[in-house]
Parts: sequence; C-alpha cells; structure tokens
Amino acid sequence: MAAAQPKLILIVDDDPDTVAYLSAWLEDNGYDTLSASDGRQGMDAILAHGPDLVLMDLKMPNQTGIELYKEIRQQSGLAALPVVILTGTTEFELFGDGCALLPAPTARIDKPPDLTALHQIITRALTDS
Amino acid sequence: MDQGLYRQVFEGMPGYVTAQGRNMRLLAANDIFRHDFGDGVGRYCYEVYKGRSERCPVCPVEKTFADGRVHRSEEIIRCRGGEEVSVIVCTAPIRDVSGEIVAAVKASTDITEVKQLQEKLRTLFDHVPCYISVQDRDLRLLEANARFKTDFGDALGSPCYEVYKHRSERCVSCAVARSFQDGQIHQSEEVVTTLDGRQENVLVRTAPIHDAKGAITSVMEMSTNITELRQLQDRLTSLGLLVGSVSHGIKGLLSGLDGGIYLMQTGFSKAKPQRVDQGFEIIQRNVDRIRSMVMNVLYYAKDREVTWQSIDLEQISASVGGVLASRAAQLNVDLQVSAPAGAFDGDHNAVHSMLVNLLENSLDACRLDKQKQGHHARLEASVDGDHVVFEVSDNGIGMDRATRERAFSLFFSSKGAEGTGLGLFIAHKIVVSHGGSIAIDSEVGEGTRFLVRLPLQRPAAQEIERSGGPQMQLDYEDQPAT
Repeated sequence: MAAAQPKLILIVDDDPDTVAYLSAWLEDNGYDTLSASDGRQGMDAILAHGPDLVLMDLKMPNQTGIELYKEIRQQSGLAALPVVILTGTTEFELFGDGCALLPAPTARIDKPPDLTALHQIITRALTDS
Repeated sequence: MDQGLYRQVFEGMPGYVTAQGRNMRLLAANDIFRHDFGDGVGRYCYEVYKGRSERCPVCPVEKTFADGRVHRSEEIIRCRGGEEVSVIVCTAPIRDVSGEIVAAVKASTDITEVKQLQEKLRTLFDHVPCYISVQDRDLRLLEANARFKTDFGDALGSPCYEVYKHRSERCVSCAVARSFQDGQIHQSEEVVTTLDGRQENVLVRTAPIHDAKGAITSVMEMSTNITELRQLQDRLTSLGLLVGSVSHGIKGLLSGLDGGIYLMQTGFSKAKPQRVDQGFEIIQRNVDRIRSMVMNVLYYAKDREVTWQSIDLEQISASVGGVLASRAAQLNVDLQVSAPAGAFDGDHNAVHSMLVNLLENSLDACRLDKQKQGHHARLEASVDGDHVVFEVSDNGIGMDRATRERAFSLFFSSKGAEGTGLGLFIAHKIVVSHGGSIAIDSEVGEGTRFLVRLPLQRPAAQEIERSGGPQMQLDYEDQPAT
C-alpha cells in the first residue's frame, strides 16, 4: 500500500522566527508546510496550493488575519478549510468584531504555543475535515 | 418740638453728629463725638476728624454748601486715642428763615465692624484655593479673586472666554450661560491657558446670583485646578497600556526563544547542524530584542539622567550594526554601516538604544515591503560643524503623512508582529535629552530616512530644555500589534 500523502499546512505569520519554528516542528511531525508573511500572500498560497489546514496569526501588515479569515469563509469551496488561530493578542474579541456573522474558527491557541495542545488541535481538525 | 427736645435728639444720636459753617469750623458737636474726639467746637473739621492741616480733597460738607443737597461718602476718621474708624458720612444743609444755607449738619455712622467683615470675606475670596469670578450676561468679568488675577491677569471687564481660553468667541457649551438660562448650578470640565501659557485642566461649577426680587443679575464661576489629577490619570492609563504592550512583546519573544531552543535541540538529536545554527541565531536575535525592549521600558518608566561620557563614533556605529546584522541577514536586507573616526559627548547606552530602535524600524520597514526585490538599510554617521549626524535610511515600505506625524507617539505602531509602540517614542526622548533633534523624511513605497543631530559637546542644561521635552502623545486608538 502506498504511503498516505502528507497533509499540507499553511503557516501565515509575519514573524520569520515563528515561521521557522513552526515549519520545523510540523515537518518533524510528518506534515508538509508552506508559509506566507501576510494575509494577502496567505490567500494567494491557499488558492495556488490548496493546503489542508491554515495556521495563522491575527495581526499582520497588509491584510490582517481577521480579513484573511473573512475572505476564506466567504470563498466558495473554502468554507470547510480548517483554520487555527495562533495569536499573542489577549483581545480575541477583535476577531468577533470583524467576523460576527461567520462561523468560529476551528480553534484558537495562544502564543507561545503549547506544542502538545497544538498537535492535538491539528490532528483533530484534519481528522474531522 | 421745643428746643430742649431738639437738643436731646441731637445729643442722643447713635453716631457722630456735628454742625459746621462754610469755613469748615465746627459749630456744635453731639455727646458721642465729644467723647471720642474731644470738644472740637471752633476748630476745623478736617483737623478734628482726620488730624489734617488742610481741607480734604473731596468734601461732602463743601458739596452740600454748594448745591444745598444731601451728600454721602465713605471716610476713615481718627479718634482722640489714634484709633481709626470707618464711617459713612451723610451731610445736609441747615437754612435760616430766608432759606439761605448757614450751616451743614454732618452725621457719621461707624461701620468699622462691617468693613472688617468685608475685609475678612475679601481675604477668603482671594485666598480660596480655586479661581472665582463673577460674570454678567455678556460673560464679562465683574469680579475675580486674587488667585484668578495672578494666573490670568487683572482683566475685569473682558469676556471670560478671552481671559480663560484666549478665544475670540464664546465657547460652544458654557456653564455660565446655562446658569443664566435656567438658574441652576452647572458643572463642566475645561482646559484653560494661564498668562504664562500653562494649560490647566479645571473643574468648573457655576451658580446664579439673584437680586432682592429674585432676578438673576450675575453668575459666579468657581474653577478648581485638577491638572495633577488628570496627569496622574494619564500616567496610569499609559502604564496600563505599557503593561499590555510589553506583555504582547514578551509573548512574541518567548515564541522566538521556544523556537530557537526547539531548533537547537532537534538539530542536535537529528544531527542537522544547519538547524542548530538557525536555532542559535534565533535565540541570539531574541535575546537582543529582549535587551532592547527592557532598555526601552526602563527609559519609558523613568526619566533617566544622562550619564555623559565620550563616545567613540566608529565603535558605537559598528556595535549597533553588529546587534542587527543577524536580523538583517534573516530578512535578506543589505545592511551597511559607515562612520568616520571621532568622538562626541553623550550617554553611550542611551545613544546605542536610540540607534538600535531607528535601525530596527528600518529593518521592519523593509520586511513589510512586498513591492521591491532587494532591500537595504543604512546607518551613516558624519560630523557637521559642532554636531554629529546619524542618518538611518531604508528603501522599505515608507510612511504616509498620518503615520509620519504619529511616528514618535507613545504606543503608536504600524508594524505587524513586533510593534510595541515604544521604540521611536524612546528614540525621540533620548535625542531630546541630549539636546539634539530628530527629523523624518518618508514617502510611501519609497522608504524612510531619519536624521538625528546631536551636539558634539555636552550642551548647557538650558539648551537641552529649549530643545523641548519629549512629546507625551498617547495613542490610544492603535494598540500595539501582537
């Protein structure tokens, strides 16, 4: 039996250190990764590569995570794409303001991430989808 | 009434009563007068009443002789024992059968107690620890206490808005006008400007003053200075914002450190030296960022005294470049540092922090710019006359006018992941504490250039003061990014 194709996870974060860290950790856990440094690049990557899950920060230059999330949920065919929010902001209500009528994201985890919890979230999200 | 009775009334009058002729000599005096002033009949009234050697400049008796009418005045007279008595004087003519004025009667009522009470109230009015004024319907000042006059000038007759706020028109919402309108007490908070240009926050309360018939004749305004309270409030608010901002920053730095440790650990266990190097670089970078953040917080938290020393221009420039070299390489930004040999006076740690903040800002501007292929950041030092000039430039994202104007505001950040909104505020504060200046030249999409000029030699304290304290602009709208 051929080995299952690794799942592709898109990391959207404007901090290169965070991207380097998460990419290495995800790859160590058997995932493929690609990254984008803002919301606009993130959307381009989603459309071009069709990731299985998006792991993203909330506040970024150019297009914020909130705007990206809105766009993902409003795009036909992407409604079920798992989106995990990884953010250092304590004001998660920010998210609600921009996306009041949209479904909640798959999960939200604080920075710096608890890797065990993040692993569980990603595994469950990919299984459910 | 017979003459005896007249005499009795004259003698028993509860005040000083005298009759005097056209030449001002006393013709008669009542009992109380004689008791306090002696028997002055035949002497000049100004001698007896006031101890003067010549006529008073304004004399009600003279007026009565001139026009035959009753006259009143307020005077201070001196008794036999030297004691001064405040009196209200009333003079009336005495005519003979043909109607000719032959004498004038002068009645003086002792109002010393009333005057003392008035004086006491005036003292209280003047020294009460707030500004008090009384205004008419045109908002013109009718009365003001001494504290008001000291800080705003003796401007009785001028409109309140001119004196208090240096305005030419009425304020939009005026508590005095509202008290005139509805007869109620009103309250408002205002910012007023003193004679010497100080801006003060005052809590204003206004109350109507009625006449005997109940009509409002004027309004009293009482303003309490609450500037210190407001400053304390601002300080507490900014401390709250600082805690939030620093917490966000620390979370990001912790993520970085976690990442660095993870990469080093797994690099060793998986025998991937490149990963070890990458992890080490991340840790080093984040330690530098922590150092920079701690310095900024320290500079923010306390007005540090400048520790003046001689700073080697080449050494400090190279050191700043060294701190940010790894970050520049990671972001693929070409970082160049150049400085001539030389030295200048300043606080080494502070100037170092200031340059790191500016150059970090340049690297971030390059990171955020997605339009250009190659990016560069430059730190170029030079000497211009008696100043050292640091030019920090980049070809990053650039600033629009709004960002440029708020760049040095506290807690303003246009950055994504790393902005605490402290860096440029602190940089500005450090430049000012050295008696220098800082300017921004920036265009969206083109890049940014900071130009810092510091005196080569330690300036006198007053010159530093003249260069202006740091603008404490709080930016509550834009919270620092996460």
